[in-house]
Amino acid sequence: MRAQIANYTLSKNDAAQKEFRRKILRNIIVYLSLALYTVFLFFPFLIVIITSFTTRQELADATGFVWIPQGSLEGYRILFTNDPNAVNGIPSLLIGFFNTMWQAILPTVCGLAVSGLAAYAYAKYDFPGKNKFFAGNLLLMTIPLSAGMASYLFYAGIGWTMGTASVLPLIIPGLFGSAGTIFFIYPYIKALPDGVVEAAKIDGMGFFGIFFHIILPLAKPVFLAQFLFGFVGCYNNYSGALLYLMSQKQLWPLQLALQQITEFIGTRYTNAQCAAALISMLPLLILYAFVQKFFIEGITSGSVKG
Amino acid sequence: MDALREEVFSDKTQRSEVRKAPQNKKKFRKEWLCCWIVVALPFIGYIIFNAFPIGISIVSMFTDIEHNQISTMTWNNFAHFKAFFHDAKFLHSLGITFWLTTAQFVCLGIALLIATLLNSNLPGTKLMRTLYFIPYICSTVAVSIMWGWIFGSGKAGVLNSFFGTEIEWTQEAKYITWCVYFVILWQAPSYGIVMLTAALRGVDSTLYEAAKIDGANTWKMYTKITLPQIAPMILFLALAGWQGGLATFDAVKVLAPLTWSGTAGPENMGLTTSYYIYIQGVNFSHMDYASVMQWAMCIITFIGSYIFLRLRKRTEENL
Repeated sequence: MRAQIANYTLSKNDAAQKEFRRKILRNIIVYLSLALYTVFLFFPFLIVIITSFTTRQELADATGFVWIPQGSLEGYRILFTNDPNAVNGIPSLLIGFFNTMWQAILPTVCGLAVSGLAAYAYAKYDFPGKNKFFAGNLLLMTIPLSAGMASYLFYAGIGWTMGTASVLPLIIPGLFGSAGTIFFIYPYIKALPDGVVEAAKIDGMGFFGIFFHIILPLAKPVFLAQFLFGFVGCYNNYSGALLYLMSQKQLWPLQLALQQITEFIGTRYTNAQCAAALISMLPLLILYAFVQKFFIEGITSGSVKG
Repeated sequence: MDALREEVFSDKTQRSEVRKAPQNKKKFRKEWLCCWIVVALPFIGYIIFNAFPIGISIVSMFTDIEHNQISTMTWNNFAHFKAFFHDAKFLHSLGITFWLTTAQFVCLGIALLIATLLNSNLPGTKLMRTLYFIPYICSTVAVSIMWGWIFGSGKAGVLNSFFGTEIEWTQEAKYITWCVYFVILWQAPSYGIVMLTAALRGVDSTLYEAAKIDGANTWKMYTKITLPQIAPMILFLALAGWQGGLATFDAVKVLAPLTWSGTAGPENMGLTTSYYIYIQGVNFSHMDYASVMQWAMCIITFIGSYIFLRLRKRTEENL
């Protein structure tokens, strides 16, 4: 009873203090949980970085995890000198990096240009048959059927699994753009004022001129976001390369080269394994550090509306 | 999607009104040709590189093909289907795939939790959101190698030195699936976190103010306002998780490589259906049989996707 009365007589000041204390407690819990998750995410990176600088001897003698290595570059050296998959003396990870670059950029850029042009045609031109095409595009996007690995039969049938041609199944299909990308870009171009296009037409610009000189600069963020996602997808694509390029060492992209070299090295040189994993992740991490704003805005902008 | 369709069809009605006026009769314009070409390109690409492979793989299910060369196709009287329905290995792989797919839903829970915490808008949460996206851009191959080292290597291994054990976690049938499970748990929430933080930010703040006036507590506001509002996004992520989980391949290929006895990891405990399809199609050159499994998986994926899409539509209607 007395306690109840005491509660009733709590001054405003006390109530505010209680609220304040609760808020502090809440914030501590939030920060603690987030800190825990951050540790969980970055712990593997830390482990791998440490091990990549450990020598084989240290690992063999160890009776527990080696937290403070001598800091040798043995792991990295092995990757670049004792590479069984090297072509003409060039280590496979290096070849893989360059292969990944062109095998990722070519379909991403070209496919994006085609998708962008199609979105631009839908948004700004009134050509006969537009509605039928648009409905068809919608259908393609809503039923994403694909033969998956069984596509191999088709590519084998047209000879795209022999020799250097086996890189084509990874590149050519991407050049034609995709229905999903068109629908992602369409609303942005639709929202650009028609007057801009009309004015450019009067100035004598053609269909492609308007797109590359006017639409593209105006819708830069959406194109950049789509490029980044396409690029990351291609960069990390492993199963496609495994399916088609296995016999063509000189065409291996980075992920396949990485998997092959780590499987070959096995547990004899874990330091080299860790070094390889780090090296292959580094380019994208650096890219992400510079353009993370576009990544996060790009990924969320299209789909938040539902 | 429907809004888009309506938009286009309303364009159509406007145009047909214009067309009625004789002075505005449309003449062929050079731009149309450009439009047709760029609009047709995605369709051409789809027909050549999607429709044809789909057709061939459907036909191949009913035929025997030697060395994956379609010129050797011969009718085989449903032999693949008969084999398929007696394939215990496929059922086994399906079980493992489903088990690994549950990881995707656990990840969704983690993502929801972390996104809710990030939504408190305390200083530093923006930086954390940026950091939490990093696993998404790391390749699954590299991530699996990373975790493979943590799980492996006897006494010098990280996990073993923590627990004082000497287990090769990736070499034991009991643990290998858990190793893959863990890799998914580490990598998959990142996408959901970013998407859900954006969805949470999009919830109309006046709803909370109204609830506060009505005296609702934080938990009630979360379950009655926040969750229903972001339900479409949750179901979208569940759909993506379902599709991604059923296609689990990279992680098992790296962590459970084919052993000398031809099993995927110890006692085939790393054999997901996509891995089995790969082994049948590439290692044994039985792409015809692999097609049967591929389409079976396609049907399973489709059924689940349809359910998630229906649920999503319902939650959108309830908003």
